[in-house]
Amino acid sequence: MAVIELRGIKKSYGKRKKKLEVLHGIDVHVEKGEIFGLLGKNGAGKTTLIKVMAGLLIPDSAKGKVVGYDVIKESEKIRASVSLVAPTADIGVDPVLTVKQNLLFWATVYGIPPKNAGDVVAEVMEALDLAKFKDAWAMEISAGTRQRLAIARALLVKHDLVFLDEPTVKLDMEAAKMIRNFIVDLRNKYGITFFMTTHLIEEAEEICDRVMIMDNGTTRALGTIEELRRAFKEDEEIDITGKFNALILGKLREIWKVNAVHLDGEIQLRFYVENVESQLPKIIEMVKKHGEIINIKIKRLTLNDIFEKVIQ
Amino acid sequence: MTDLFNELRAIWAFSKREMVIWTSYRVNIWTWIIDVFINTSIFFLISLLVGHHLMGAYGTNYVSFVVIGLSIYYISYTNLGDPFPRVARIYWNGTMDLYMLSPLSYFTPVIGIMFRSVIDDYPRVGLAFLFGWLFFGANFTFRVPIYVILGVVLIGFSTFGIGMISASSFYLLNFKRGSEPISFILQDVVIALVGGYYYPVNVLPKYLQILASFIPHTYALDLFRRALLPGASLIQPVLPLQYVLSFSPIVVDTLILTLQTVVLFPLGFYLYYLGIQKARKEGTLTRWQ
Repeated sequence: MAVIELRGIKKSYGKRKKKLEVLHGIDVHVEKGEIFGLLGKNGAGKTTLIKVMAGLLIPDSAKGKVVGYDVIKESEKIRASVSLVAPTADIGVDPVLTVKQNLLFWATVYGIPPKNAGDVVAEVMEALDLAKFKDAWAMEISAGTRQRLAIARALLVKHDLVFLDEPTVKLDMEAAKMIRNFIVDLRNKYGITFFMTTHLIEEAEEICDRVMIMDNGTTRALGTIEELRRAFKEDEEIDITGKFNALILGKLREIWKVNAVHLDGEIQLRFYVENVESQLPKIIEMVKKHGEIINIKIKRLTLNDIFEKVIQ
Repeated sequence: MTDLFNELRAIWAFSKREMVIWTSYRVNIWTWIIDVFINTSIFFLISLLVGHHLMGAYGTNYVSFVVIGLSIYYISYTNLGDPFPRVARIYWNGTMDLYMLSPLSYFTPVIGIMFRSVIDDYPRVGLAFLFGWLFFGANFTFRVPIYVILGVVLIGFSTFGIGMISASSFYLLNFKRGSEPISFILQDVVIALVGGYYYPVNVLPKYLQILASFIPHTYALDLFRRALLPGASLIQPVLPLQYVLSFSPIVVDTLILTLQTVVLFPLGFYLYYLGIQKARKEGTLTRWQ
């Protein structure tokens, strides 16, 4: 079941001669329970896209639904049915209230009945390791803890769809890892769909089921990491280091695209192949005929490689 | 009904939060009391200088006269002057998006956050009456109580209506930095000059009296002074419309205030709604882009 099913999203800012179109007809399809990553450089249109989908911005044109509501006619219902974590932790965190007071305040804003609010707040604090800070003023806690507080606020209500705009920005590696684990746990436990933007490509690679790469208001790539790898597979590399006889390079080049580097009496062969899994056994068999293999390294395409290629 | 209950509960949550924030600055309470005391003292000293000959239909006690003026000033200062900076606060701290992503109406956060000023300003009314009565010889009666209660409600809602019109200009006219002209022109120029906080409107030139006829403060002050000041007249007209309409002055005040409230209150909310819609279209709802 699609949680987001939108077609032809266009959005511009400004008027007449100063009009600037920032989304040029984007399509988005996100299934329930997906963790969907949106990647792009600053100014690519990521935040605008999130705001349109969350019902905060009125698009110039768009068709389709978000959490079952029409993106234009029922934006009020969309807004009441999704959560959002802004990129700056301080947004929505009152510095002179304690962590617990902040969350209890937002629980009321989100319409959580008073009899449940205490339990809900306690559960979220526990899950995000905030319980030990519950009586600390928000101004006293670290930026990373405030970011966790901001995420806790957004997760007070278990909406079907949560937008995360750079959720781990400002966090150290350990805290970022905790947030990522929490996101995955919530998805697994409650089936919540997460639509997240991030500049940390490794983060998207780690937890996103699918990613979309945006550039200048258009979709440049979309799919699972594997699908994207396959789409760019000609660039995958296999490095084999060893002691080989002089004839090897000519023989190999009859079959594969390969370069050689001489290193302290050893030769490093770099193969450029389209499909590592099918080619590797054949390569090893051929190389062994011409010498001794010392080391094999496979350089698979990372999402970062794909991102750089797409954005170029 | 559930929705209304949730909105009220949210306003209460905002109010509690503002109360916690307000009381976290302990010096507030002392500056607040001293400020009201000094204000009342100043007018007592002026009353010694001016005497009572300007009072006309409003009795003979200038301190009592001014205590009512100060009270309406405090209410107006909050209701008319506060919505704009509250919207600005929500915008600049980036929470407008978050409030919009909740089941709350567009208006609840603004009303809720205004409670900071309500707890700051409304009790000043009581303190002004108390200091005036305790230290400076002000005295009051309580004739026609129903008109007083009605007057409080009407001046509250009508000034809040103007306040929401002012707040709507934040998005509608893009007044995003500093103050905005609507509340400045009304509150600090027109009402301050012709509203009658510190002197009766009939001491003004005729054209300014006509200008005063368009603002709710004129009628609220006339109503409260006639109803609360000992020796004030319930029949002697003072305001231009009281000479024209063949009702008692206090009824004229109530009718005109009602009419202004019926126009200004919904207009303020409607313009604010239009402002939010405009911001949603232009992408200017919050500074976070």
